[in-house]
Amino acid sequence: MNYAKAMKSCAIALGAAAMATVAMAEDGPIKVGVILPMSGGSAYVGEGIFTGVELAVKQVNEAGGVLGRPLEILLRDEQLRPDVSTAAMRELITLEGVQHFIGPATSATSLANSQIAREEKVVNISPSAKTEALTAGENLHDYIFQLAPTTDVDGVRTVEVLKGIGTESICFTGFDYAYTHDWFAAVRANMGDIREAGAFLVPMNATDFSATITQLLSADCDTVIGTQFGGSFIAFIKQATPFGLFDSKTVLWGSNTGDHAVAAALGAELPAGLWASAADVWYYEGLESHAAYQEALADFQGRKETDMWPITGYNAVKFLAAAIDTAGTTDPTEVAAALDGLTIQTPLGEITIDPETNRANSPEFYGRFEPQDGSNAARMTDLRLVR
Amino acid sequence: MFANPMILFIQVMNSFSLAMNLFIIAAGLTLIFGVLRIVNFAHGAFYMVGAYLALSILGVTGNSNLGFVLGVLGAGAAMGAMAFVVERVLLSQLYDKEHMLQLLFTFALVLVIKDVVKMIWGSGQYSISAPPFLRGAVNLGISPYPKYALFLCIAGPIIAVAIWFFMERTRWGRILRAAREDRVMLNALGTDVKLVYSGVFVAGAALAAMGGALAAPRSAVDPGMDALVIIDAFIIVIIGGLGSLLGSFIGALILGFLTVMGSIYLQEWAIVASYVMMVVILLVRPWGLFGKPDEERH
Repeated sequence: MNYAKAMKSCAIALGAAAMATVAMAEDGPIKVGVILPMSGGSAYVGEGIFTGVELAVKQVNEAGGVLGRPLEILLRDEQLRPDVSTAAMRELITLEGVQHFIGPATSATSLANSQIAREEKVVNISPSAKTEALTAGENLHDYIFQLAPTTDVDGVRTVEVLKGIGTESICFTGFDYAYTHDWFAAVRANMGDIREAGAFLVPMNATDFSATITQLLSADCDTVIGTQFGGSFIAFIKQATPFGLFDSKTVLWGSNTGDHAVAAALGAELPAGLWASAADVWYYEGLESHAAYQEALADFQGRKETDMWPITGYNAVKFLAAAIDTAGTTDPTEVAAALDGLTIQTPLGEITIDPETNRANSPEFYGRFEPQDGSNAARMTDLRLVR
Repeated sequence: MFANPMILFIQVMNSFSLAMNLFIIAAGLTLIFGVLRIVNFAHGAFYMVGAYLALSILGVTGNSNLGFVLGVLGAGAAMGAMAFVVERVLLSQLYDKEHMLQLLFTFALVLVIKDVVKMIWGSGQYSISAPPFLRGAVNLGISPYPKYALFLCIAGPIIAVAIWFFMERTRWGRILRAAREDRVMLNALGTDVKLVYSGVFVAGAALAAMGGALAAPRSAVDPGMDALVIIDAFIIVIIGGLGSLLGSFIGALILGFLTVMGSIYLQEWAIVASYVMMVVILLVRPWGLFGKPDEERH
C-alpha cells in the first residue's frame, strides 16, 4: 500500500469512527451537568439537591427515559466559588458535550454560570438561587431558568405572614450580603403600617452574634426577622436563647431555616414559637402528590424524616425532562424555548415558568416551630403553603 | 450605648467571652510555632475535629455535666493521640526541609482531615448543648448573662495561667523555652528534642481540639467550622507575636473587643478593622506586640 492509499484508508476509518460517535451521541444517554456545593459547610445543601436530582432521574429512566434515551448525571463540586463553578461548567461543555445544566446552588455562583450558559447557548436551570439579579435586566437571557422564589416574591409572602401574626414593628438582622438587602428591601416595600425599629447587620460568615443580640433585645420592636443560614443560624439560636430573645420577641427567619435538617440538628434547643420558611417539609399532608413524592424519597434515602433541599433538584430534573419531551429534541435552543411558559405537575402542585421572566417562583411553606411528642426534632405548625 | 451601663456591661462581657474562646485556640497555634517554628495551617482542622469528637463522646455519655467534661477532655486526648502519630510519622520528616514544604504539608493535612471528617460524620450540621449546669442565664447584679458565655470568661484565664505556670515554673517548661530559643544547643546538652517536639505538637493540637469542643455549645458543628477560626487564630498570633503566649492573650482580647464593639460602632468596617490592625502591626513591628525579632532569639 502506497502512502496515498494508506492516508485514504485512515481518512475513511476516521470518518466512520466520527459517524459512529455521532450516532452513539444521538442514541446514548442525555447528559445532564449538575454543579452543586459538595464540600465545606454548605455541602449538606448540595447533597440534598443532588438527592432530589438522583431520585427524579431514576424515576424518569425507569419510565423509559426522555425521547427513549436515559438521563445521565455528571456531577461537579462548585465549592461555592464562581471561578470553580464556571470552570466545571466549561469542562463539562468542552470535554463531555453537556448541553443541559442544573445548578449551581447559590446566587453568586449561579450568576457566574448563567453568563456561560448565555455565551455557549446551553440550558441552565437554577434550582435554589433566590437573587432577583439572576433573571433581571441584562442578566435575563433565553437559556437561564430560576425555580426558587426570588427575593421580591419572598418579601411579599413574608409581609403576608407578618400581618397575619399581628406584627406592629420589626427589627432586621442578618448577614450583610445581597440576599439580606434584597429581601429586606422587598419587605420594606410591602410592609405598609408596620414600623421599622432598626437594622442590625453582621459581616458575612460571622459566628459571634452576641453584640447584635444585645442590640435586638434593647430595640423597640415586637418582631425580629433575620437571614443567617445553616450553621450560622444554629449559632445565632444558641447564643440568643440564654439572653431570652425568643421569650421577649416574635422571631421570623428567612433563608429556608424551616428545613427539617435544622430542626433535627438543634433538637430541643430550637426555640418554640420561631417562625420560619422551607421549600418543603416531609410532614405536610395537604396534597396526594406530595405524599407520593415523600414516600418515594423516603424509600430512596432510607428514612422517613427527609430534608427540604431534594425537592428543588427533583423539580429541576422534571422541568428539564418535560421540556426535552415537549421540544422533541435535545437541542438546547429548542429545549430552552420549550421551558418558556412550561407547566408541570410537581409534588406541591402545578408550577409554571413565566415566559416573560423565566422564573417559576415555586411555592414555600411558612410555619411556627413547636416541639413534638415522641420526637427530638420540632416541626412547623400553623403550616401554610404560600404561592 | 455608653449611656446605658447595662448594655455596655453586656457588650464588654460578650467581647471578653469571645476573646477567651479564641485565645484557647490561638494558644495552641502559637505554642507550636514558638517551639517547632512551623506555621500550622491544620490548626483549624484540629479545632473542627475536636468539636466532632466531643459530639461523638456526648452521643455515648449523654448530655450530662460529666459527659460534657469527658467530651472536652476526651476530644483533647484523642486529637493529641492522632497528632502524635502525624508528628512522628510525617511531620518529623520535614523538620530539616525548607519552610515551604512544611506549609504545604499542613495545608495538605487540612484537605485530608476535611475528607475524613466528611466520611465519618457526613456533611450535615450538628449541635452540642451546653451542659445542664451552664444552661440559661445568671444574674450578675447589673444584668442577667448567659452562664456558658460566663464560663468561657473564666475558663480562658484559667487555661492561660495554667500554660504560663507550666512554661515558667516547671522543668518541662524550661526545656520548652530552651527549645524555643536554641534547639541545637538543647540537643547538644542531651535533651531528647524529638520528644520535646512531639509533646509540643500534641499539646497544641489538644488545645485546638478542646477549643473546638468548648466552642460547640455556642455554634454549629459542621464541615466548614474550621475555615473562619483559622483566620481569627492567625490574626491573633500575628498581632500578639508568633510564639508569645502573652501576645496571644492580648491579641485575642483585641480581636474579641474589635469584633463585638466594632460590629456596633464600625458596622461593615468591623471585619476590615482586624485586617487593617494586622497589616499595621506587620509593617511597624513584624514580630508582633509581644514577639521577639529573630536576631534576639539567637
